[in-house]
Amino acid sequence: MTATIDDYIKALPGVLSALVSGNERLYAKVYQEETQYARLTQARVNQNGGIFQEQLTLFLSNGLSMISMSVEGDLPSPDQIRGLVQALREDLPYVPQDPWLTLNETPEQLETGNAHGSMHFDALVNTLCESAGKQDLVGLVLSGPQVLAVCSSLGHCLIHRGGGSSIDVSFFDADYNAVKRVRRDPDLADIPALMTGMSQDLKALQQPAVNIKAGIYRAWLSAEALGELLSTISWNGFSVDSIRSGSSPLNKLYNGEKQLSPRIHLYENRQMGDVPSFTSEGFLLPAEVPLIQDGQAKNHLSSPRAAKEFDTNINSDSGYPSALHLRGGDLPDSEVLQRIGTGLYIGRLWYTNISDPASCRLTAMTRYDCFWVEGGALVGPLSPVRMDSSIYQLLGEDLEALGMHVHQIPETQSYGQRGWGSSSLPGVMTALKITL
Amino acid sequence: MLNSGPMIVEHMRVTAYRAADLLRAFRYWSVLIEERSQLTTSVRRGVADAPDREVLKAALITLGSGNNVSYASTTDLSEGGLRRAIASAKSRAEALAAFRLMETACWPAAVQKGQWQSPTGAGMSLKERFDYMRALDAAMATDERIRDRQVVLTSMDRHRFFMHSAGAEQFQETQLCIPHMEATASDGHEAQSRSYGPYVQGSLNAETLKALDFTPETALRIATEALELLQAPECPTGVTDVVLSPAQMTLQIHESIGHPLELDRILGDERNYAGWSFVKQSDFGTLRYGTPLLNILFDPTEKGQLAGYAYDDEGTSALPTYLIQNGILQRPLGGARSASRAGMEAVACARVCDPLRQPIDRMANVNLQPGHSSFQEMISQVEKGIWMDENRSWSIDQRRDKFQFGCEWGRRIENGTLGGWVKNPNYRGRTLSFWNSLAAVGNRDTYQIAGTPYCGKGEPNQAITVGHASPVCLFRNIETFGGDV
Repeated sequence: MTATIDDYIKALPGVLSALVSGNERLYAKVYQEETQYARLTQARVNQNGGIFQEQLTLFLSNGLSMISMSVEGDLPSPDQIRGLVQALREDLPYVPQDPWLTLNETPEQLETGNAHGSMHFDALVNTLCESAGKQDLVGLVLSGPQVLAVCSSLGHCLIHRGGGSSIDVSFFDADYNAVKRVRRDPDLADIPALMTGMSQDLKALQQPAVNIKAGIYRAWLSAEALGELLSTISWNGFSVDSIRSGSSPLNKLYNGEKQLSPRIHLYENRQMGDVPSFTSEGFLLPAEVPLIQDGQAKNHLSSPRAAKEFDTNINSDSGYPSALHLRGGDLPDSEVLQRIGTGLYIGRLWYTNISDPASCRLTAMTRYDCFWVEGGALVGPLSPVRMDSSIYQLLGEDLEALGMHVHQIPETQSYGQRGWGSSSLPGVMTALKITL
Repeated sequence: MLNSGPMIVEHMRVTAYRAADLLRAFRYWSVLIEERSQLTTSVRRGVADAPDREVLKAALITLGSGNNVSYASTTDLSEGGLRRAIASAKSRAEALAAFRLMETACWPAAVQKGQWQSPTGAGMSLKERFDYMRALDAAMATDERIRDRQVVLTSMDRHRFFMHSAGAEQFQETQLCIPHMEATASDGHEAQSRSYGPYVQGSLNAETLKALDFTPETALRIATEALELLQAPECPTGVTDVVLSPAQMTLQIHESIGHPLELDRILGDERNYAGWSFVKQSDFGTLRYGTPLLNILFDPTEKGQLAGYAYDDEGTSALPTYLIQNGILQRPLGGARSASRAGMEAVACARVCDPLRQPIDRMANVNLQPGHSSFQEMISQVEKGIWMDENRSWSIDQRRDKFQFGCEWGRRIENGTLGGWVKNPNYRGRTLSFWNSLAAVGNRDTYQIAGTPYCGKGEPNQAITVGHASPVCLFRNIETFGGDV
């Protein structure tokens, strides 16, 4: 299937260029994935399926007007594309001019990523269920290739390939204790050991739960917990539109009113995150964009359209970060409990939202492997509690240390289509305000 | 007579029959075909973005082989594409049969035949849409402190044809009207936003938009309110009475009633992603969920609400069903498949966002039934409290117990009278104690329908439409607070 989609993509620039005239520009975005999935409940296959999804989006512009059409179904033939372009052409006179429309007039060629098949999907699912034994295994297995391409009548041909296998699974017990693991392209031979490790970690949680009162506690946020907070800030934290309109929760960071700890160095790193590094308008994106350096705002993220509106450089497809990388610090994972002393070990957070945009205050619930720690040792699992803290406290005044090890956290979302790439984050030693 | 006409019905029937012919070799199968067209237009800060048309076609094949069932989704509706989907489902079902959760005989069998149509009508031309949006945008541009303005109109026309080996043959047409506008005011120090999004089933046209108050008058009002919020004091911290608007009740019902009553959550299917539920199967029929004023109706048959239909995506016929009556928990939101596993009675709530995902238990329309209090009667019962409107922030634990929600704006209530505005109003609580603090339910004059097109759940992930309707409600002794000063 990969050869067929490759042939289709590589022929597209020629097809598109034959369909335009005068000042017209025609861009096409192609997406294809062929995914198998299995939902697991109680170490059994609850639902399983396959997804074969192809979509072509055409963007037709003439001067400063543009209109787009996405077609999901069989990828259209050159003749069918001609018909779609004609339909767009008929609508175009009714589309207002867009002074911020920006297209890359320089044709670019790029191929990144790797195509992954679904070589051992059945074996992976069966091995997981078998290796889980009597544990209550629940979660999702995904497997298969995906490809994204942008081509144009000017000659662009930009391709990113990805996919592969991923497991996102948990063990639960009857007392709501749970542990979770996410792995990209796991080796079949490693699955039994992974399940054994999860069993041991779940056993560590099977102690009387500890209830804590509202207050401020020293806390270690694992890389996954920190990633949950940063993903919420990413909604509109770093885009130039949000910052210039004042609606970014990081507004005070970007206007210099606040700063984070000088140890915070945060980047959008597309190369490290293995995500597409081009935009729908045919622009190539930088491998790395420093967002925060020495705790101070450095760059915002600008899509091509926003870059023209706000007179900045193009460094993003949408304004949302897709591959955050936070530089690590000096605290080894092995010393985390000792460094907590008495306080909280937060393995994961859940359902984060912004409770006060002006102060970038975030609220979230604890979930999975969260512990009460005393004297540098785990005492017992933490009863679910709510945090409500400002990022200026968490990564500012209250930041004690950054973990030495930077963890790769695969993107697991699959709304509309499978997500790409990963973020790279360390854990952080800080203080959390617990409210309920 | 369906608005889409016999051509589309026939065209989709041909595709579904083609799939059905390929599936006759199997004893258990179903096929769901969807054709959907969608148009999104937006104007932001006075400038129109490129209109985005979508024409989407996909099929969901379900088949049993080797005493196991597998799904196959495909956008390739050619005979070859359908054959490949069926072959992959057969192969997968057999390869994973050893660890199946359910035998094929326990999967739902749908027999009903019928057609259904949401409210429908003619749409707007591109020019009419942009003219309408520009008028709204201009109405919000009242002050240089209005730093961001956005108007988005999305219209969708969706056709689904479903067939089942047990005999079901169902055609449904749904039109959606998804308008949204938002104004953000900023003084350089902080920003405050007000938004308005009355989402309904039906055609997106000027008549509908005006009936929904999606007008320049509303645009001017929300811009004015955003500016006013910049001057407002923070919502006070303390334990006080709270009066919630229908728009905020939508979120409250959704998060702390709808989701915890989904049977697949109760069975544990969502624990790895969307979460579990504090509700147990043994709670149905006995658990006091709220005060006797609380009556919650599951009603996909309510036309015009965002998630209306006659059949769910497993072919089960929809009927209005009380989930909570006089405060007592009655029924879960469990589709036929989940209900079969749980040994409970099903409701028609097994839904897909589109045929590229499998059916899971969903809310559809979940409504709080009106009571008898007028708005003024409720305000007059409050010695000290906060009125809150339009959700801005939402967070709840994975078992749907401890929540914290925030609104775009609020007003003080003192000695039975509405007072000045407050900004950043938030409140938090626990689900059962909150619903058991319900002290008054507004009458039908205060009742409004709302909903969201973006309820997220499931693995692989699905975002789907849900409808909610509610009157204004009064709750006693709730923990409230504002932003950091």
